[in-house]
Order: sequence, then structure tokens, then C-alpha cells
Amino acid sequence: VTIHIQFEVTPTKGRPEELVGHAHFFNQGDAPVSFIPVQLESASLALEIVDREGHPVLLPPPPVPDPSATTVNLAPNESYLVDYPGFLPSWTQPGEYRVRAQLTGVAGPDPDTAAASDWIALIVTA
Amino acid sequence: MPQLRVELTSEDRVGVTPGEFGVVAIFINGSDEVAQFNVAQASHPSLVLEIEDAQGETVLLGAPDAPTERDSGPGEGVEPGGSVTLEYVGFLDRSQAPGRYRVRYVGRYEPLGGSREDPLASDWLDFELTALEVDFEVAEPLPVRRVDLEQTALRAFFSWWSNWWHNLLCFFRRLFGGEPCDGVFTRNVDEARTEVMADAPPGFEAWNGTYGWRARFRTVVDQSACRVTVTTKVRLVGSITDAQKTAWENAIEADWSNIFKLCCRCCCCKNGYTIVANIEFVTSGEDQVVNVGNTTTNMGNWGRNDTTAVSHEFGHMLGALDEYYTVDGTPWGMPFQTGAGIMNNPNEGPLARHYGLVDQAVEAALGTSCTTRPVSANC
Repeated sequence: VTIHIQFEVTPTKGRPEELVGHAHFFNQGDAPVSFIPVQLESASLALEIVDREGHPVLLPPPPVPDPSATTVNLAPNESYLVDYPGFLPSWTQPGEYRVRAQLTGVAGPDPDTAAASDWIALIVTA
Repeated sequence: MPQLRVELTSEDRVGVTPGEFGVVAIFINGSDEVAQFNVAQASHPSLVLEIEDAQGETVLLGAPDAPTERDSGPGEGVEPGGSVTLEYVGFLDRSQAPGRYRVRYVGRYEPLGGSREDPLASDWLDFELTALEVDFEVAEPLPVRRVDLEQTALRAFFSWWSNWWHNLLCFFRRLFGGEPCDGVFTRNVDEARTEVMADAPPGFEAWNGTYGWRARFRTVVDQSACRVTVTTKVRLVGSITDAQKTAWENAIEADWSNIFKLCCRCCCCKNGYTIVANIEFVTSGEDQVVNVGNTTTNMGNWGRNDTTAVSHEFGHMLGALDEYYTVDGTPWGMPFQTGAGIMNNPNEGPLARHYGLVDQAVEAALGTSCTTRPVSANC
């Protein structure tokens, strides 16, 4: 895994629109990594959210990928920072959730080697 | 609201021949009282299945069998939490042309789980028919063609005959002041939508996955103006100028308004109800929350200077699914295809099927069936 992901949410308790995710994608390998910015910037693609029972919380679809979109190169030891304001849908029910940032494709096509941050516990209020 | 809810599924939805295509309907009683349901009557596909082709034209099914004693009986009681499963196979004529279609269950009468005012309806289920393989040693072209012509002529005659009686009825209604055509009918829509995306090519694997959202809007059918206004109230979070908001509003309303109309089987607005989209920015009582950012990253996060992708995201708010890669088993192909419509290519406008939930809401409001057509077409 060449990408290390550090992820946090501030605050960790509040209404869905009040929670903001902050991801720090760091290339710890020795070769540049190429990616489409929206892949990291869309919560639908980069965040994984589960409820207290471990059931996935579905997010709206990501934007249509433009095949001609410019890719970004992340050089070794470089970081890419992304904020996810209000990443939880407004209809999310109050309760306990866990969220993490993850990448497939960029870190490697094998899900076992995909990069993922630690899980962050959240409390969603009404 | 009907006591029952119905879910339609099909194992084979791509590359299936017309005579073999089938769907399974599961009726679930989610209420806490016994629901009455006439299984025999609901088993007739012609009475309960609605099918449309890719242009939104209704596909007519064969006439149902003559009613039996069971059909006219009280039906069965479905216990709270209980369910009934019905399978419909071979209801499409074997000569049905290859292409994309969609089907749904609609029960507009109490024995079928709903009523004219509040029908029991499933979501639309997309499917794709392939050509029937013909054994050329056996099949002869001329008889096959004659059968097609006979069926086409029969369908045309049936349609004409049905319209003739309908128009006559409308004439007498108007003559005796029975239908003033000045009604305003409102319907709120709040439906969960999900889609499973697959077959994204290398480099885009991250798009494979299951997504979910809620389609929320209000339809107002104004008979005196022959117009359906679809309003979505959006509360914005984040900084944005009035000019940027206006640019969003103008782009979305231009893309989704005055392109299609709903042709409904009623005596008013014989040339259809023009669909007009209206996005309203509110500070409370919203249907959707949109976070304002630098780029559009999904339905709930819009780029403040983007006026293209946001219109695609508005389509999701109206309930339209994505139409690129493979979605729910339907292979749409690569995104940004020419002529594939806004849910594939955000640079384009919507297609008739993208107003599916609007159509359903208007049907429920008017208590009749409607078809989405281009505004320039005749109803």
C-alpha cells in the first residue's frame, strides 16, 4: 500500500450537516501515484460509513466521471488534503456510526491491499 | 396510502427474448391490519403491469382472460407482516421489438391493492429485450410479417376505438359541465432510491458500489395552465453569492423545463401538461441539503461555479438513476456518450424516462395514467 490515509472528523457529535471529515492522503511510496481528483474529493467514493450494527450507510452516487478529466500526480512524500463538509446525508437517523476514508484503484485493485484509515466513531444527533 | 407495498424483481433483465421475459412481484403488508387482496385478479398481467419502451410509449398487452368467480370474489386477506408472491411470465408478445423497456406493477382498484386516487405501484424495472432467434429452415418471412402487420393494425384500431369513446365521454362531460378543468392537484414525493453500479473500467473501479438517496419534491398539476410544476426546496450550507445561486437555478430550470409534457388520459389538457422544474433555495423546510464547495462531488455537494454537473445531480433529486457503466444490471456503457441523455452525459438534457417519478406523482394526483412525451409531439 503506497498511500497512507489519516482521517478525522470534527466535531464527532452533532447533526449530519455539522460534521466535517478531514482526510490526509500521503504518498509513502517511492513512485508518483496518479489519480482523478474527484475520486478523493467525493465522499461517495472515498468514505465508508457503517451504523452501530455494521450496516453500510449509503451515500448518493458520485458525479459522472469525465474520461478526459485531468489526473493529478502525487509525488513521493507529498500529501493531498480533502475536507468533506456535511458528508452524512441530511436524512441520516440519530445514532452511533463509524466512518473511515478508503481508496480503491489508486492504492491497488486488490481490496485487501486498498488503503484505508482507522475508523472514527461518531454520534449523530437530531 | 395503500396497506400493501409491492416490489418487482426479475432474474434476467438483459438479453432476454420477449416470450420468456418474466417478473416476480412480492406484495408485503407493512400495516398492522389485515389487507384484502384479490390474488386471482392480480395474476392477470394485462390488468396490473404497465410497460413502456425507451421513448416512453406504452406497450399494450393482450386482453385478459374472461373473469372467473375468483376474480370477482373478495380475495384473500394478507396478515400484517405477511406477503404474497406472484410471477408473471410470457406476457410480452413474441414479436415485441428488441430494445430497452421498463415495467411496473400498478393496482388502481381495491382488489388489486390500491385505488384510482392512490394506486399501489412498484418502482419501474428496466429490462432489455433481444431479438427472437428464428430457425430460418422452418420460419418463413411472409407469414411472420403478416402477423406483425395484423397485430400492429389491431393495436392501432384498439387505440383509435378507445380514444374515440374517451373523447365522446369527455364531450358529454363538458357539455353538461361535469369537468371544469380548473383544478390544482398537489402531490409530495419522498422516495428512497438505490442503485448498484458495476463494470467501471480500470482506473475508475472506485465507482463500483451501492448508492442510496432520497428523491424529494412536490408536483403541482395546474389544469387551467396545462402545466406540472416540479419544485425541490434546497437549503444551502456554505458560502455562495446570489449570482452563483442564480446561475445554478437558471441552468437547472432551463435543462429540466419545457422539454417534455405528460399526456394523461383525462378530459382536460388534451395536449398534455408541460413539465416545468423549479428549484427553490430556502433556509428551512428543505427537501435537500446541499453543501457548497469548489467542485460537485455528489447530490449533496455542489461546486459553486459549476452549472453542468449540478443539473445531473438535480436529476437524482427527481429520482433518476445514473445511466453509465452498469446500473442495477442494465449495461449503459461509458459516460459522456452523445445522445445518451443527462444521466449519462451531463452536457445533455434529460430524457423522458428521467421524469419517471414525476409521472407517477401526477398519475396519483389525477388518478389516471400518463405518458411522458416531448412537448412538440402530439398526445
